[in-house]
Amino acid sequence: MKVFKVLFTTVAMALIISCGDDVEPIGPKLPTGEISYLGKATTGQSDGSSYEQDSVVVTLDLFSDNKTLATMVMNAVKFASKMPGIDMTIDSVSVETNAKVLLLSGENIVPIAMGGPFLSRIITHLHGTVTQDSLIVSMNGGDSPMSFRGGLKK
Amino acid sequence: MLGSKSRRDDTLLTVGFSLRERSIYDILSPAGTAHKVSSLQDLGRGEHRRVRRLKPTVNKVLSLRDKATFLSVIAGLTRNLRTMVVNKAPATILIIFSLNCTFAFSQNDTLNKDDVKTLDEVVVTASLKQSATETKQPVAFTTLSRSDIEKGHISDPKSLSLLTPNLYMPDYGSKMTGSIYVRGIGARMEQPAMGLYVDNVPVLNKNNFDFDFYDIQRITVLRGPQGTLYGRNAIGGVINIQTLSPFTYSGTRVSASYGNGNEADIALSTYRRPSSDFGYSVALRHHQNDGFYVNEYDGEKCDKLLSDGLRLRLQGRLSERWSLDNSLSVNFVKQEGFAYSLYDEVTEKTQPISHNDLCTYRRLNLNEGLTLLYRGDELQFSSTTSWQYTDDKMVMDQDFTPKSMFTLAQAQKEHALTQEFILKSKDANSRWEWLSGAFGFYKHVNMSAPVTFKKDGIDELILAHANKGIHMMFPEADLQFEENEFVIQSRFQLPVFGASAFHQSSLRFDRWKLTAGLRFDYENTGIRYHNYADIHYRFTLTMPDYKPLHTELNDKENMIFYEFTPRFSVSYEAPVGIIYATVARGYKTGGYNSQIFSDIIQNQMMNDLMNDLGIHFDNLGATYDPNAAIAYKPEHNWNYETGTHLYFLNNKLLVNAALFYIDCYDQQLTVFPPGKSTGRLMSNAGRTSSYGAEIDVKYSYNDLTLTGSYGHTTARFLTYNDGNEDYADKYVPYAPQNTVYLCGEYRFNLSKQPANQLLLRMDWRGVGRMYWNESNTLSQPFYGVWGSSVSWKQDKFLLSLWGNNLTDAVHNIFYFKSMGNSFVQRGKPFQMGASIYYDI
Repeated sequence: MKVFKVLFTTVAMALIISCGDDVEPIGPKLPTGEISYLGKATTGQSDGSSYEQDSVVVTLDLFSDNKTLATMVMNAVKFASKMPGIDMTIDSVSVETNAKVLLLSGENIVPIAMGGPFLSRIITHLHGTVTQDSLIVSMNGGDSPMSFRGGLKK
Repeated sequence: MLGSKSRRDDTLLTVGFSLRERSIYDILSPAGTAHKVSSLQDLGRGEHRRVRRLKPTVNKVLSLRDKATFLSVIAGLTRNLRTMVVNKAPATILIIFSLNCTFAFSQNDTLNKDDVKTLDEVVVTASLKQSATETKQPVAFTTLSRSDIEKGHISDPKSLSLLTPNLYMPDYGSKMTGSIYVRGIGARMEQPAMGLYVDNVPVLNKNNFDFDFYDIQRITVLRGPQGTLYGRNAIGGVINIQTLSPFTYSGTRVSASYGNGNEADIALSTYRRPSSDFGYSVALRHHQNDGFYVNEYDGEKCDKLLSDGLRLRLQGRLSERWSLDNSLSVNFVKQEGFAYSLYDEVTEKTQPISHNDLCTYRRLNLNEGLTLLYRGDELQFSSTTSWQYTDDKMVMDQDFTPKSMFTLAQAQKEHALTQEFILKSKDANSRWEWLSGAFGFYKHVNMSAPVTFKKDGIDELILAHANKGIHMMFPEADLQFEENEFVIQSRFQLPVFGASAFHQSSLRFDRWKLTAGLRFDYENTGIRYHNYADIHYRFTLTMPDYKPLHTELNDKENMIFYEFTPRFSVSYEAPVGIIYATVARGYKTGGYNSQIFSDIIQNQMMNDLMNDLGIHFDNLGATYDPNAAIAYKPEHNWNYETGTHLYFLNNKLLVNAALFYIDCYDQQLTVFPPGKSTGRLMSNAGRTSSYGAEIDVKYSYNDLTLTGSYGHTTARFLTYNDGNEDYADKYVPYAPQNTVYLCGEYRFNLSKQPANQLLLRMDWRGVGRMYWNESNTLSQPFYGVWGSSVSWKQDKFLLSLWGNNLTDAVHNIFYFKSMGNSFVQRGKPFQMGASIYYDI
């Protein structure tokens, strides 16, 4: 009988706990689908300086393969002040779910830009974190270090 | 108008004369059209009654045997001018021999026209708008008779240039070009600065302004805005052309002319009046030349011309009060043109003409005009209906260089209908004289204007510009097109219609005359455009294959204008002429630019291509909002003018003079978008003002006639900033500052027979300075051109040797920019030829 009481109590507690999950979330909600972030892009220059570009929009299509990959589009991003902005698409970015954030990573990704594969800007060392409100990502585009830090574009 | 102040003048009797034909009576019908009779027996019953009281005088004319007798009759008539009015039912016969004008000097005339200088020319017109005597009107004008036109070899509207002060019509491009500049007002394209009327019908399309003259009875140029009576586009004035009427001339005319440049001109016409109430005429003209300019690219003349014309005219009196006048004219033009030379703005050197692509213009134009006229006891009424059809095509090497850059083939078909009703008070000599009218028109243009970009054009105008930006980022990469040439298709429909109502009243107070008028115009103009281009492109850095790109603009726009054009004038009739002051408003209508679309679609194509590539330049070059770029507003002006028409020395000396000030708002100017643009744009250039003076003098004494005119205009921008530069206080481009015309004629009577004469004629036309651009950095200084003719006249036959630009003066008559290059067209070189006229 005692065994039944203990089992009943355990099941009841478990039900209470599980019911509580449905009513009130625990921790941040992780983003999914297509989300745009507005922020600042920074590109390292050959002379060691950095070029910063404000108001860059980066669009993330999370779990574009319905599994673990994302597509990141950097819209009209400039690599230097006198260059035109370029729409650069970085496909097959790995997405790993953490308890609070999504972690991005990628290596040797050939971006798509200007109508085809942009071989001179192969992406390496891509690392980033994504939340519902922010995107922080860094990478090397060819030989140039690049980074982006932005908030949710409303 | 001389004559009674209370009599009705519903029928005009003109006494013409010809010693060869004894006498001819030109009876102006109740319609105002005249017919010619060779004797009193040819007169109708009504006319007999009307001339009864004049019979003694008429018989006196009939009995003329020599000039002296005739002149004595004329002198007698002149003395009795103010009382010679015959007023009997059903109409009044009024002999118009008022002062100031000259008789037309037809080939048949055997009298010295100078001997009858005191006589007013009998105005043969069916238009109620035109006054019988401009000399009494408060307006600056020039009138050319058939004699003036034929002796001066005035063969088309452009040859009217400089004959009247401040009127400049440069002869460049093709016959599609009808640029008119008057008193600082004018434009190269779109709407004309003056209205053109042929036999009372308004010519709506400026492309038809330049046509060959043949058998023109009379040309009247009115300067200053005539918007109150003539409405849209009469902002600088009106040119009224009256063709020869079978009621004013009977017979058959043949003429032929040949000159250097293989210039040949043949005209044949016949004017018949089978009955006193009906007349018809058929006139034909063929004109051709091999051109005067050589295109060094292929060594061929590049301005050949072939032109044919046919005019049929029927005139008749339907009743005592009603008459009709129907004129159908067909004109065909085929020519090569656009003899433009590359011009170095720094060295001011002109390169030879050299372009590789064909430049042609072809036009078929039909004008049908029907005027019904009623002259009642109290009122006059006219209805003028016209249908105008134009089918023309211009093919142009738009870069005008040996390179294969781009060409334009602009073809249009236009139908236009006009209708005007006029009511006018009958008695022009009453205290109150008035005129009211209504006008409506509809015009529809179907236009196709494809621009073909060729290899050099693709490389230099499109890819070079795009790759310049790309190379900053990727020095090794290029944007490429698969096509060696592609077409930007441009199709337009341009419907426009409008309606007007107008009224003008004049009150006489003894010698004073006050005139006030007002016109209201409504106009609805639209454009439907469909422009597109298809190319295949490739960016070598990233794209292994070509990719298609389609660019398209497809939209429609519409504008509505409401315009009021008032006119006020006061004149004082002095014993030696009149003095007047006038304030008048005119407007030139607005519309849509079609020739900028190649630029717009080219610009759009590059934007589409870069968007397709995902490349975003901070400054891609000029960008257009198509609907904003293509529209231009109406231009308005107020003209303040004072002038006079004076007669001295027993009317052998005629002096017309005027001072004017014009305040012009939103002046329409042709501008070229900056950079290597390929289009042209009509733009409203803020505010301009122009002021100036005009004088023309004619002196006749025995066998000598001296004519001179001078016009000065200072036209400046008051406010105009195109976004790149402020042009305030700069001179308005293309408008000449000075125009001069000097002409001397002397007639030698080779025998006692008056028909045997030798006529020497010399003229000089000067014009300048003209600035070519808004910044006034380029200009054509004042220059002059000599012309001369020697004519021998024997009875029905006339032989004339003539020459133009006798000194072969080198001057530029036109300047423009294309793709950043400057071009000019030189004035026509020395020309000479011989003409014969024979009246059968």
